[in-house]
Amino acid sequence: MNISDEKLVAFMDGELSAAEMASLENTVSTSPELARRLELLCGADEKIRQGFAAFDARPIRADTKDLINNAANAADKENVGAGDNVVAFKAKPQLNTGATSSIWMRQAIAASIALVIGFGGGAFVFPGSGQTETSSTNNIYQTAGLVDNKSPLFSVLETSQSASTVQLEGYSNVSATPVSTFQTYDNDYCREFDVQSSGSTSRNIACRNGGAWTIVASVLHNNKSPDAGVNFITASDGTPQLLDAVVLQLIEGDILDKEDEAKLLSNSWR
Amino acid sequence: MAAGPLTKRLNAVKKHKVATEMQGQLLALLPNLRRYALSLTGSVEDAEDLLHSTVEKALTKLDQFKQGTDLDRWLFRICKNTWVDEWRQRKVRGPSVDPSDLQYEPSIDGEATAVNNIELQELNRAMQALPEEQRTMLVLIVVEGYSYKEVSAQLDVPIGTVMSRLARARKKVADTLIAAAESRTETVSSHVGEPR
Repeated sequence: MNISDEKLVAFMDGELSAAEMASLENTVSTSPELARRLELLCGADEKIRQGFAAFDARPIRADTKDLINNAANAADKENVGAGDNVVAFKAKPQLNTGATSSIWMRQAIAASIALVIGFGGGAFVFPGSGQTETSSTNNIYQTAGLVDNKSPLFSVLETSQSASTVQLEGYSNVSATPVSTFQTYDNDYCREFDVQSSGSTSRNIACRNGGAWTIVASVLHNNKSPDAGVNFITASDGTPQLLDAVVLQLIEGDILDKEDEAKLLSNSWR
Repeated sequence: MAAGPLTKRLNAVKKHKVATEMQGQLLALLPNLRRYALSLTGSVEDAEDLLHSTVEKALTKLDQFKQGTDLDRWLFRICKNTWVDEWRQRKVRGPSVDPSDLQYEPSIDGEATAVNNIELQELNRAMQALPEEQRTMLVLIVVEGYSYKEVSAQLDVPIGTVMSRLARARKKVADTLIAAAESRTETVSSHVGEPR
């Protein structure tokens, strides 16, 4: 039987249909001449692979590797110098409450657990079950990630454009400012926002799902540490770094521009 | 805490993240890229230079790489274009180096090393004798393990062309290696019985 070289090499590479493979295999087994041709071609393949394996044993030139490593280092420097809020992403966020906070962060990213947020001086709480607490002397922590849909913060997240500061009704000297809006890999939307109160500020990320807003990460800025045993992330100068890590895990595409955000707000997040 | 230039910040962070991820992927792909460079140049020295130039160019074009697409294909394309540019500049034709250029270093001693080196030199001659497009095809499929479909897309040629070039290349290499082996055998036979 006359089998072309094209067909024979396609057989070697498993590029024929199952029926053709079976048929040719049968033919090869009954034709010593074909079997020898196949053996020679396979032998050549083996030699080629051996030759390139030997080539692989040569070390890659150091100056070529340096190009890549230097480029990554340059990106590090550029990143650090890109703005006053920019901190290198490479370093893992250092959380000051140890293992518990790490877990909190992971769970927070999964949008499944609670928010803990508080302010020195004035205090602010996102009620989890309709309960609102305020205190002028103590931080108040609440482990509930869900933003009460009757709270003024819910209204801000739902309707206020980024960069607009809104005084929160019912709280003394507490205001909220949406910072940005972005879509997530799960096609939900999230917002980064600040809450300001008496010289202290928190930067937070809340995500919207099924009409509900859940805080997924929160970083307190310039505030004293919370009580022991409370899962809380504080950062004196690492706020952008900590939240960048969360945003980068969530974000699909870019931050929405003003126009797209306005459209989204006016269409009730559809 | 001012809102700050968040978009700028995130873009910088994303750019950095891409650069960091790409660093690892690029380093991991260097051996594949170097083999491809060797298939294009047919010369170890030229392959090393081509690899260097390719990486240099790729790093300046990182922002053009579309995330989610195949990095190896993107790099191979840059490599090929770089080689074409280089080739034009040199305005030379034919094999660019002496076959002894390929100084492989198999970790075998004594007679085995000698035989192995001879075989590798024979392989090198066989590969050198191939037109570049056949050599590239052979390396992408036999060494790199790409499918015909992938190579067809990568080199922008029909699958039928992939098959015919591949068949011709394999046949030529096999024939050259057999001829060389037979020549060696004859040489050894003709020396048997000669006075020392």
